[in-house]
Amino acid sequence: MRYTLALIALIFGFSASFAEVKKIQLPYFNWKLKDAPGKQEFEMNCLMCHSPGYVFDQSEGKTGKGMWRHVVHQMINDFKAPIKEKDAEKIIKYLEENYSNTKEGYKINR
Amino acid sequence: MPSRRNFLKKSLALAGFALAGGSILNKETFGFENPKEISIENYPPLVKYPGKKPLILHVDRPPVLETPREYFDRVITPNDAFFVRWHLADIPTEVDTSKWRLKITGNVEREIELSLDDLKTKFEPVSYYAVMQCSGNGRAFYQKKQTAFGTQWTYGSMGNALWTGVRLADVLRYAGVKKDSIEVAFDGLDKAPYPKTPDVVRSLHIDKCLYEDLILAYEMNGEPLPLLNGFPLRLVVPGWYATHWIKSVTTITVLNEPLKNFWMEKAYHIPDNACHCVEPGEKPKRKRVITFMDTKSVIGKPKDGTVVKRGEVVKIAGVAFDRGYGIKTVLLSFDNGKTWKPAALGPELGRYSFREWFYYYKPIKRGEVKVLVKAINKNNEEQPYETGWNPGGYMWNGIDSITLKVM
Repeated sequence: MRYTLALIALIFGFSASFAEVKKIQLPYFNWKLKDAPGKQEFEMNCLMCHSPGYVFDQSEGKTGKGMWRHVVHQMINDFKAPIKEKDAEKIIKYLEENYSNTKEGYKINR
Repeated sequence: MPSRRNFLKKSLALAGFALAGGSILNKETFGFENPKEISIENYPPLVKYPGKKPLILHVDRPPVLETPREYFDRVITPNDAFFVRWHLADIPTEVDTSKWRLKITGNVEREIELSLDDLKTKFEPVSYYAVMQCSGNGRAFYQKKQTAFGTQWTYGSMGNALWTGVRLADVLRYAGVKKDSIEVAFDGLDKAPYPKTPDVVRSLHIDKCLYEDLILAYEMNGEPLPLLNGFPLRLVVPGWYATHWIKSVTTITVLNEPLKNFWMEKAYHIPDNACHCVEPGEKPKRKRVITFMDTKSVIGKPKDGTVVKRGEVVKIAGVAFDRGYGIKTVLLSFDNGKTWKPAALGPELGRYSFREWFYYYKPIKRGEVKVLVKAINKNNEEQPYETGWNPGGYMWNGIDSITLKVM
């Protein structure tokens, strides 16, 4: 009986169009940020909207001078991040000192 | 006491597991564990998301996941290996299709709401293969000149799938587009965690929506789209970059004036000149919204640095595509571009699809061999050695290469 039901469920589950609830549980990741002045301001202001992945990614290669200043101001002006000017300066310094030119270049074998 | 409904649910889950078993219980995922910690040293790691093979993690909130290069040795990209890119961290993690509706509103004769069943029964279904590629795919290759702003994708923010859905034009005509309409805007279920952040809403010109091949897809490779790829409905804009392929579409608004927001006025803009490029670090004088994809090919296999034996044949395989003219030829060079040899092409699956290519190579000398590959489309647009730099790091289509070590 159970097997028959399972079989019916299998057939109908993949052929009939009925209302469906799709759910996903996103995994949690533990990011390790460099301990340095400005880390706290970064965590308080930036992590509400996104994880440190965006920072790690853009720290690679030949990061142009002023890149982090541009990015932080883009967050404030375009994405409307409510970051105070005093905190913004600390965040920019933290990113420039810890997350610029971190790797010679992309890993070819990604 | 277990109810019948619960039992059915469990049976379905078990059946699903049994069906998917073949793909879950293989060496790529069996015993795979996500990293305990992500630091700059192990970044970007391979990670496993529900319903996905291990993919390269750029960002987890919002999910930004890249398909490993090895999947580009075949013409169809499997759903469970397809790349993921969201902009705003509050993404739909649960969708109940009995409640979900597509709303057509704005400058129309009648506002309508359609259920998923409405879409599947009231309109003619349409299917085609099309490449979806992120505007920034290959952005990491600009790092040699200067790191461009954005996710440092290498190969895998692209994929080819069979999309099935309804014509956007049919749905728009069903609602009745008013004569003075000029654009159509698309909004999905994703939201920003901070309410003042501009929501991702993008628009397209009315002609593109009424007279071209756009569809609203409810299936991807014969299955409902994964939640991470825009379930239950995704706009498909073949030949154009994925920024236009709005995920989890819920609202379509016909407009009689241009949409003005951050996403249309500033984001995803390229230099408005022939090369779409400027000197590294320079600001473009004129900019425009990114649209079509340039001709490109990628080597899927073998892996860069593979050791091969002298005199033994090795199969080199990959994919090529363009904006919709179709691929005319794919050429390989083993002498740094002095001479080029044509690859064999797989069957044509439509002008917007990947075209599979392969070449049987027999190395005759010991040492390192650099393999270059370039594609040419039916409009004679050829893949260049390098793509000109632009601040957003968009549209990379430089000639691809691997190095083989001949023993």
